[in-house]
Amino acid sequence: MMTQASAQASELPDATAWPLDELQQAEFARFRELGFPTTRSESWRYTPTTQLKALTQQLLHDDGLADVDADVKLERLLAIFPILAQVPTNRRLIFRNGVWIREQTALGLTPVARASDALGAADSALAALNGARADTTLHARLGETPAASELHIVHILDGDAPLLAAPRIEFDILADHDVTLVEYLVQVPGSAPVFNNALMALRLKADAKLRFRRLQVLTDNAHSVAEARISLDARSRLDWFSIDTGAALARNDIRLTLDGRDANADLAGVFVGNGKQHIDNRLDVAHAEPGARSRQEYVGLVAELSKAVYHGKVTVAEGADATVAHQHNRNLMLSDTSEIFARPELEIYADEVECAHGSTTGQLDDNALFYLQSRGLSRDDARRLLIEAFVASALTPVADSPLAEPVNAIIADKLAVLGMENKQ
Amino acid sequence: MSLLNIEDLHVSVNGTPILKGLSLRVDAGEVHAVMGPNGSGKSTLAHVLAGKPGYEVDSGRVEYRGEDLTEMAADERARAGVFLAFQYPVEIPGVNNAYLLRAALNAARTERGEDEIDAVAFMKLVREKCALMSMDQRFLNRSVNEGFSGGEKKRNEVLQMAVLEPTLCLLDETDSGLDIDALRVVADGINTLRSPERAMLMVTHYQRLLDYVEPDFVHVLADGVIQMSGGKELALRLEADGYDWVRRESAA
Repeated sequence: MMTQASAQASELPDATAWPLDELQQAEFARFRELGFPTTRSESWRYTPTTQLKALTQQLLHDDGLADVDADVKLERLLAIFPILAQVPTNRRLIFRNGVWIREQTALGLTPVARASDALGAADSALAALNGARADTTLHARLGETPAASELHIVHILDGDAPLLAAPRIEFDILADHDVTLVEYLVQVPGSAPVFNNALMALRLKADAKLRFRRLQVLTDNAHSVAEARISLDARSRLDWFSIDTGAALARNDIRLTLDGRDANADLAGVFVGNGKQHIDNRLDVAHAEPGARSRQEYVGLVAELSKAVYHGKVTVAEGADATVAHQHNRNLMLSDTSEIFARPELEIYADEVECAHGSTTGQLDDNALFYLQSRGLSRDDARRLLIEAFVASALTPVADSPLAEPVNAIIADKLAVLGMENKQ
Repeated sequence: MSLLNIEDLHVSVNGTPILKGLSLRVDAGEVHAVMGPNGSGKSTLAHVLAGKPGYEVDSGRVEYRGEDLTEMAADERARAGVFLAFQYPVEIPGVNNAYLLRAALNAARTERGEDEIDAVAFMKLVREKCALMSMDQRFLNRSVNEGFSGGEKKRNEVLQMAVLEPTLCLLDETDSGLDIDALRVVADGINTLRSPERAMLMVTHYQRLLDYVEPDFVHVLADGVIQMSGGKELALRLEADGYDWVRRESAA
């Protein structure tokens, strides 16, 4: 009798369109063994993967990464995106279709061979697929030099043919250092369908500080699964903010372990979906040591036929006393046809913890709409004002920073194309 | 032609008749008070004139400057000069008070074919009106009504009215929840707005506000119709004797 895993594996091709070294071979075998995730697995329960699986099967036969026109001037490509205008050229790392462009010699960073990376054996199929596709890992120790204290990572997707992008990044934030990382994920309009399968490890050493920002602007033929594995040593602090304006599928996975005493993590996310987009935020936060604090603040807006997921889980291990963990999620639904799956979850095995979770999903307030209309604002203007106010309340982490402008521009662009009225 | 002409108005909410043949004429320059017991339909009258959704006009006519008001959306009415000061002003987190004031003013100006007001002129205007309402200018940078006390909310309503300079002011229980000092400030604000071009319709349960804003006409609304109309002395009698005698007399 076949096990479920082998039944899965048989549906996946046994070879790839690209050559595999020994390590990649093992990852690919692992991918086939684990099988493509389905809604039957707990962590993909709210996100159908049929389309993604079909795209992946196609890409395993025929990956367009080799066809990328190497002559396209990067600067011309980057200039397409006004939100990249502020990225300092001496502080940027550019990945094109998942492959690091080695132009940033000044930063003194080098990719390392996969064999020496510490991302370890993949425990999820898609992480294994990343491992089967990625040739190298970009590994850096951040904080030692000023140049490595603020980095802007630009992922740009522009395939002429469908391709699998598999950026693989490992950053160690050195003890006592203070680092800012800004990650941009952008797709050139009109480019081919893409599966962006990103894997990133962030390790904060004792007393390190990391301010992490992610700005994600994709088109509707993109599937993106980004997994971040984060560990926090004693007293380190993570301040995470991401903004996601959707894709055919945008899955944001954060697996965070508070490994050290008194570590601190603030995780904030804003997601805005429209059309038939599907956005899935999966957070898995583990408190392993006493005295650590984590806070999740996720704010979502769905319009038209879009669907979004907030599935945040906090696990407090035995002995992790005096843990403080908060999960908050607020959603606004702009249509009767949009959907939100909100699931804050807590598992506590320790004593003396302070844990709170809450999730609210609502529609625009009719009384507020009437109030604004009674002051002369058109119904559309009134709706827009209330929607902007809702989203703006989630942007405070970047409000007074250089990123305020690009973030506001992303939101304004997105709101401009949203269906504002309830419609079937 | 009256500024506002209501004829035999029947309005229901969820199938329940509230206004049952109300008629009322209001001319420019006049201040009318509509008084009545709880549940008589006072707030319904104010809401239906402002265009709040959920009110079904079953029959009758409402003409404003000769046009059918019931055919206009709430925002069209506002831009045409109808203003409702809410009994319970709505808190709107994240929407800046000054922003709303300016957007509202510009909506009305654009409707009249005027240019939008520039930032300097707007701030000057708003500063004047804030002084009139004894309001700290810091209110302007707060979210609309968010965290305002009851009195601050009512003052903010009259501030908006003073900035927008509407033609027909509907005041829905504007005196409720005000202490005597706030009542005086609000009443002063309303009085400043009295003019030959403007009419006011004040809906109130108590006569208290009428001590400060003297009406030209007082109407008693009960059971969905105007039972009796008179001058300001009618308000005093209502205060002294209650509403029951009106019903008895109009039934007689």
